[in-house]
Amino acid sequence: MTEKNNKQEMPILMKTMIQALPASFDVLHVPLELDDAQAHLLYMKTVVDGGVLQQTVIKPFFEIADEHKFAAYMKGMPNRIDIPTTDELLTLFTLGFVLVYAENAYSLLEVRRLGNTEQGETIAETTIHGPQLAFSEDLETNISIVRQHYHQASLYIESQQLTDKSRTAISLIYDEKLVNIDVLRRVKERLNSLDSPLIQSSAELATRLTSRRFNLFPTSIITERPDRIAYNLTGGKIILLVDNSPFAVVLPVVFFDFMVSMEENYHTYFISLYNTLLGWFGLLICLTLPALYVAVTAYSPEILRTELTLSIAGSRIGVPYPSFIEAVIMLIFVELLTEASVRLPRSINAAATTVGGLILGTAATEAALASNILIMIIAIVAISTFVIPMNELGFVVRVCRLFLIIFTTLFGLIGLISGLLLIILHLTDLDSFGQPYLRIAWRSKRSEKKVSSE
Amino acid sequence: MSRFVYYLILTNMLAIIMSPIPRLLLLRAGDGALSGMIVGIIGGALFTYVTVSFFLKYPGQDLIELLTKYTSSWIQIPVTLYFAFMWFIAGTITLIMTVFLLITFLTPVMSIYIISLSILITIFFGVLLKTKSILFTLEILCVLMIPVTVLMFFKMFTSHELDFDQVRLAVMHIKSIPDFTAFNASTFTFMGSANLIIFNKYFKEKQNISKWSIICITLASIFMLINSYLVPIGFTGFDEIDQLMFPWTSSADSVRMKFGFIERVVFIFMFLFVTISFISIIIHWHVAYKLLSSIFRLKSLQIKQQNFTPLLISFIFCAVGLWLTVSFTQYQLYEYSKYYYNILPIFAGVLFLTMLAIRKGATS
Amino acid sequence: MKKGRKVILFFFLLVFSSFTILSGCSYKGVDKRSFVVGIGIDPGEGIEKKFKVTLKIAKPIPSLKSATENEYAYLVHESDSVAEAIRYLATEADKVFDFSQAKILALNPELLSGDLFHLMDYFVRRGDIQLLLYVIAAKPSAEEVLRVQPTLEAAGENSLYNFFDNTGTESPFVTTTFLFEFRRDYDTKGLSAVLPIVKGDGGGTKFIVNHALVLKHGHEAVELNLLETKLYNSLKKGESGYGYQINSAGYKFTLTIDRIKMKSKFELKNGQKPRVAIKIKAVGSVNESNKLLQLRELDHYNKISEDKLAEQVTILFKDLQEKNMDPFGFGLKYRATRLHTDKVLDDWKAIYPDLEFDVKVEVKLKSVGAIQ
Repeated sequence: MTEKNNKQEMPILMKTMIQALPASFDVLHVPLELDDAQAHLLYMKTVVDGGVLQQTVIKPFFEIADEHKFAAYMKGMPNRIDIPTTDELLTLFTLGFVLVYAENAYSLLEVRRLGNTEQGETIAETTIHGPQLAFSEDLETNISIVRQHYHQASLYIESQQLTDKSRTAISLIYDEKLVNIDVLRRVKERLNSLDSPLIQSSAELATRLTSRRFNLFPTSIITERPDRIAYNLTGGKIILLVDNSPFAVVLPVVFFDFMVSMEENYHTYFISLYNTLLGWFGLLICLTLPALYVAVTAYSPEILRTELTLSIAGSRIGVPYPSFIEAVIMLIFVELLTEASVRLPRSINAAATTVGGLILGTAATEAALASNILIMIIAIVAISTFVIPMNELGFVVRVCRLFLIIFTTLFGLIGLISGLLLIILHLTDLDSFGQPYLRIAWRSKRSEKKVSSE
Repeated sequence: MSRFVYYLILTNMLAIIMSPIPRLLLLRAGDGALSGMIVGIIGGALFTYVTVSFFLKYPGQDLIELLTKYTSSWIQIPVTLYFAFMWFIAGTITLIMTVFLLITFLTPVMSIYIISLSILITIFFGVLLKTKSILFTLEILCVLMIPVTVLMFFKMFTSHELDFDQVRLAVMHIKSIPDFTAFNASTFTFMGSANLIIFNKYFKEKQNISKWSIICITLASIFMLINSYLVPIGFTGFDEIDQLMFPWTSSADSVRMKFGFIERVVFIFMFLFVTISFISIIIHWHVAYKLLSSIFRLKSLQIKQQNFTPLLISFIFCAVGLWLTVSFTQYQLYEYSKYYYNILPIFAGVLFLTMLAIRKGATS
Repeated sequence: MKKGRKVILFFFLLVFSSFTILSGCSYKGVDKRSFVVGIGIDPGEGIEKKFKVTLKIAKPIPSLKSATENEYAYLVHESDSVAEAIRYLATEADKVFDFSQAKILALNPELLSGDLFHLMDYFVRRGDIQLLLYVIAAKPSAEEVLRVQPTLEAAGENSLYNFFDNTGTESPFVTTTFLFEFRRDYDTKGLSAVLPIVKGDGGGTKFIVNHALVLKHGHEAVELNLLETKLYNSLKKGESGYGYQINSAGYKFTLTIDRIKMKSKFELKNGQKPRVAIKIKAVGSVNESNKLLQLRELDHYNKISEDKLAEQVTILFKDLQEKNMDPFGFGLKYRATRLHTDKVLDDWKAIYPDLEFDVKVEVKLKSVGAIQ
């Protein structure tokens, strides 16, 4: 009798746990009982996959109907881990672990309810010929996607939990044979010294990883494309995957990585060369064209041909503002338009762009608030911003553009050269986890992938 | 040799266009410029060979390290100061010349302060960069600029208006006695290799200097000298060449691209060479800054973990540069830079003696 | 490190904010400039007024599509020097003059003899005036030529440019002389500068450009006629095209020359008269003829053309020699082919009047055109 009584009492660890856990509605303690056999389950309903729990724990209990055998079955579960310290145990509950007590032994089973395992379509970086599906929002699914894109035994995956409030699981993925040890060491150091209270997405993690606070240029790539991950793994880079985030972080990066569109790998040599050049040309255009307009209209109209100068002068007839104010106003207007079209639902999106772009543009010239040529330039600039393969760089370019306009307004054409040079100097001065950010790596694409140090 | 050594030498060669050298050469077009140049080329090639092969023997070490290691401080300090001075002046000459050129051709109404400042802001930051970053920037600019430059030179050489009879006429003056300034000015073309006294720190691998690399460098410098001496003569005539203040820019203004987006080639040249002079000033001043900061490190400027001596040095450089730019007249610029080029043999002598001292210290 | 960045950032902002105040004086919007497209200089009529300066200023066209013709403003002032006149004219205009787009410098031929230093100085000294200016001799006067409004000129173009920049008409009758070329050739000993003569005609509605003017320091200008201008352009500048009339041996045809090249070599032997051997090579075809032409007789036609051309060229050389002009640059050639001594130039001055021209022409007609 005494034995039986003992069994019906709650095990000590269970008791302490229940006391330690808040009395939320989803903290469940389920005692199982059948004939002599007895077991206790403790878990959080909302993070545990009920179906799996039913199939792998509860149902076998009633089928086996023997405490000893059930305990043995528990020990053989593939998702079982040993009991850690009490503090850690508490967090593990929130992650979807189930504490099972059977025959004086505790087992901790991972019966996590998986997040969104659905692979969405690529949105941020679309290609015509490449894979059309992006990462999902579940860490394990994502790891398996990476594995499937990169079948190498040397692929090394380290799992880790962030120390902030979110307790998000992250994985560090790299190819053991190719990775740069120095970079790896730095990344781990940075990961361990993170001190922000809450990190929610991979992009946020990426920004927190850089040591400088005032940063303009991103020192890591955020991507949603599995093929880019595989491409970068072959380059010896380190991938960070964050749970609940469909984006992966690629470290370290060189500037040229931002100018690589995955599309380039899916075309013939000359076509991809042409596309690359087009991308660079777009970068140059959207960076310098507005500043060049200011320089030409305000300081040095002599560099253009007479006909062009006269027609610029003609198109500016009646515009009351000096050209740099005109250019800045129109640029900000386009920025607003771009931002608006990001925020708006897709169905209204097109209408907003049409209204903004076409109607306001024409009206602005009709009302002599901006010259025709400037409207054209702004349109070209807006279009070529989208040619830049990585969005992150696109954002940076928008800021740099304004910086160049200011420089040009102050100093004329020489200001433009000076400003461009300053940007280049800043880029070469930057480093991404110890690797130079901008430098020309000869040996073409092969070494562009490589993080090799000289 | 590392490719960066070539870039250093090449930039220095290209930057002579933005220095008073073309005019100093052309002033003596009638007597001894050409023969002076020929002697200068031989001297310069020798200088390059000696300097480069010396530093290749000590991979990964710059002159500061070598001096502290192998010589005593009474050699080290004056030599370092002297070199810092020479490099600072070299950069300053390019700066003043660039500002004068811009004010004459591009923005005549702009204030000289603003033009100088627009250059100095970038230089201020450029000087403070890591040596390695400067090399990377240098490489990027070289890769971007040199193809366009070569294309433009080609355009110049094939221009209809280039009068080859004038060029031949200039060549016919070859027999005169070599001119001293012309000799020095053309040796300066080669002096890019002297930048190794600081930049050698980043060439860690053991390398060799081959016969071919010296030949290539010599050919390139011959090309550049021809370019800065004979091309202006071809465009603006031999007899009155000394009237032009900026002979090279004036001759670039004589070329046009009939169907180019920018019709007047001079602007493309100006963009190219202003950029090149930017990087040339940064390199020269960076060397001077490194040399100076090896001697001075003011304790009083130590605030927390940051020492502000580098900022101070760079600021002083820019301030002195600005002051000199504003106060110099064109005549002074040409006169003083002539003196500067004329003491280059002393500089080469000091450099060689220092090398000897280091060699001696290293072997004993 | 972080601290340092902040300091730099602060410094940067400080520098920037201080320059917003400094800047502004040189900021001249394109709509606040008036673009001078042509400069004309005539002799002044008043007393102590050496020059009459005409500026041709382009009015910006708001819309090229609706504009039918160009509109220009003309400003005229007489003064003792070019700079003074321009300075005076600047007070007449509400916008600042921008000379960087000026491409025509029209000079009245009356000004072109004697010393040109004072006249030309302003244009070479100013850095913002391009050296790629077309210098022309304008008849009857610079002002009138600048005021010509050709009927064929469309809005937004300047038809005078089209003559010279080799993108429009290309004719062996048009001499193109840039400012730098003019200055170089004028200053070089042993070479004479050549300017095209532009005549305004038809009541100010058309240009005629087919003559040229040879100038030399301290000499009277010599005008080249139609044929001479054409020969000069072909031989010196390699210009080619229509219009080489051959009228000899009963034939009368017109050649189109594709390529033409002249080489000269001095033959100086003691005791003999100095000679220069000139070889001219021309490749072309027949354009018009008064008879049927046989393909197999091309050699014969070559011969006829050669003789005729040689004759024309020799006459031109002799004529110029008599007037002590040297637009072909024989003097320069002479100086450029021997090592320099102090005597070379004086030697040449002695040689030139007695120089004999030994002209050999080699014409190679490729075809007789589309029919025989």
